[in-house]
Amino acid sequence: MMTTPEEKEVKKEEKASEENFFFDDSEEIILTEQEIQDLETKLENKEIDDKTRSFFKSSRQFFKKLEENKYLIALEEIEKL
Amino acid sequence: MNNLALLNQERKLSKTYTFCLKDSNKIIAFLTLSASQLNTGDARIFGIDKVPIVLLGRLGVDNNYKNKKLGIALINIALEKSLEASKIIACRLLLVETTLDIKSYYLEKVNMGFEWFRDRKNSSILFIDLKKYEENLQ
Repeated sequence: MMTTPEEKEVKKEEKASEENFFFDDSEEIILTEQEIQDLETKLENKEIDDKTRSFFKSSRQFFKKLEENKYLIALEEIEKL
Repeated sequence: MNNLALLNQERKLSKTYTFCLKDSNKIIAFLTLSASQLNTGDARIFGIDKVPIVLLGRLGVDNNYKNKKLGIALINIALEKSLEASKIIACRLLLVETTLDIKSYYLEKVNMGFEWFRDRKNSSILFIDLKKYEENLQ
């Protein structure tokens, strides 16, 4: 039985409404040979720049503060990040 | 959205973290985390063909609360929760798929340690190495 363009559109909308908003339905990530090499190099490289190290440390401090304050925090505190 | 987030959480499909206003409980920012993997196809990395990761699925901030660094605060939470998870069931990366216009924000404007992985048609895939994060906290 043929499906009209209108019916196709309705089915497309129905499918979209069934999709789980919290999950991306885009195709699975499968690494290429080059990406595998690049990723391995990046993961074996222990060097990070000072800005990143500083961000990591402030990230930990922020989370500790959040825990200590029982997950209550002023917006002003967040804006200091 | 609240219902779906809770349903996903009940089903143990994803976990949603939110920032709510103290007085009204109104959600002003949220993000979701779930377990996932990177498939290396026929090749292997560190001897395995699937790299365990934490996927940062969705991150949203209420328009009235943009530019208040809530997104950065959520990334901080994602890093800590991912690290915590990695100590129980190993996962190496915190991975995020972001729109191309936000890519530079993650990589350049705010230096959060994200590394570029791949561009897709309308998005870019970035990650933070949880091992590096853990090793550079002291």
